[in-house]
Amino acid sequence: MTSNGMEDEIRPMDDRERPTDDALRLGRYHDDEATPDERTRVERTLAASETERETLAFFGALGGGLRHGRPSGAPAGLGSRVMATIRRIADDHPLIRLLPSMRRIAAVAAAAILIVGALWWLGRDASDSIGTVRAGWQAVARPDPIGRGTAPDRFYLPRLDALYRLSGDRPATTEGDDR
Amino acid sequence: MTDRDPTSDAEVVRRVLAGAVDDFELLVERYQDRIYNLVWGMVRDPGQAEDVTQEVFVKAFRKLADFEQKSRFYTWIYRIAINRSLDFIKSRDRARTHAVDVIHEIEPAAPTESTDPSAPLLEREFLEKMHEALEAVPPKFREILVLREVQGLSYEEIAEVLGCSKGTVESRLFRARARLKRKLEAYCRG
Repeated sequence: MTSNGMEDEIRPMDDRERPTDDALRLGRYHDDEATPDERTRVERTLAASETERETLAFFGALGGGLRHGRPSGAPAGLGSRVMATIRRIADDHPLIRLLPSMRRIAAVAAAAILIVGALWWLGRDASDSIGTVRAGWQAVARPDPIGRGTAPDRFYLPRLDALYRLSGDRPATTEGDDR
Repeated sequence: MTDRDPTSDAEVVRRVLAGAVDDFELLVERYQDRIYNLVWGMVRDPGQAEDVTQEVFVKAFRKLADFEQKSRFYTWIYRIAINRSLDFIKSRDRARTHAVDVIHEIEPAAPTESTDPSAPLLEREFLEKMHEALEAVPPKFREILVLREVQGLSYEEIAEVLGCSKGTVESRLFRARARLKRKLEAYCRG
């Protein structure tokens, strides 16, 4: 390695490894970012180091290569095409411009509707089941072996029996319920 | 140029946000060459650079309300241009990988320099090798090389665009060059 450390240029360098101060100084020199003192120092080293001269030449070639073929400016008409698109966007109804956010809102609303629907469905099923159980329980309870009767029985059976009595057509199922 | 200057970027942005959409044209005129050059430096194809540049301005317009004016407009739009170019390169690379049989159709037109008959053979060969090497380096190296060599930004300006320190710019730039040098070493020494 030379005293200025520029051999680092040659050996593979780990991307995490910090370049040496000499290497950074050479980069600044190439990029016109070096202070006058640094310039003098680099120029002195350049005169003595073939490696450093080579590195600097490579930096120059690389820059030239990257700039080679660079267009002088944007193609004609690009600005007007950009503005035409932008005016079209601006002319859109504000609601259309909000489309991405509206999509999000719609997705949330759809999810909410689904959840409410599912809850309602489950609730209805549960209510049906409760109704079925209750009807079955009432059917079993209707004979009323202890003579007290279920709440619905106590409420409507006396009225039903009164109706049957009036019509003179008392069904057999209500026998024994005459209270 | 102060913020209150009627033609300053900040003032133009304020007017556009207030509804004067046509004023956005001032920003387009002001930056289209630089953005196009930056995108060209990244994607290395004039046609694709034009499309991406258009997308950059449209995106900037759509996101203008998010621009907090804490940074300068040009650093903000440069950032959009770099990100959009990187996305484009990524999707182009994916397309190349997944559609081997159509590679020749989707591959961007060869850079103008490689077909320039006036360029000496060795120079053309070097340029081709350099572009191959550039395609192979990580995006963070590619973007910094383009900002420095194609755009000619100072270290300070690059730091502002990339949102990092000047020291990071210096060392990343050095690493990028070292990486390319390594890749081209065999060719240069052969």
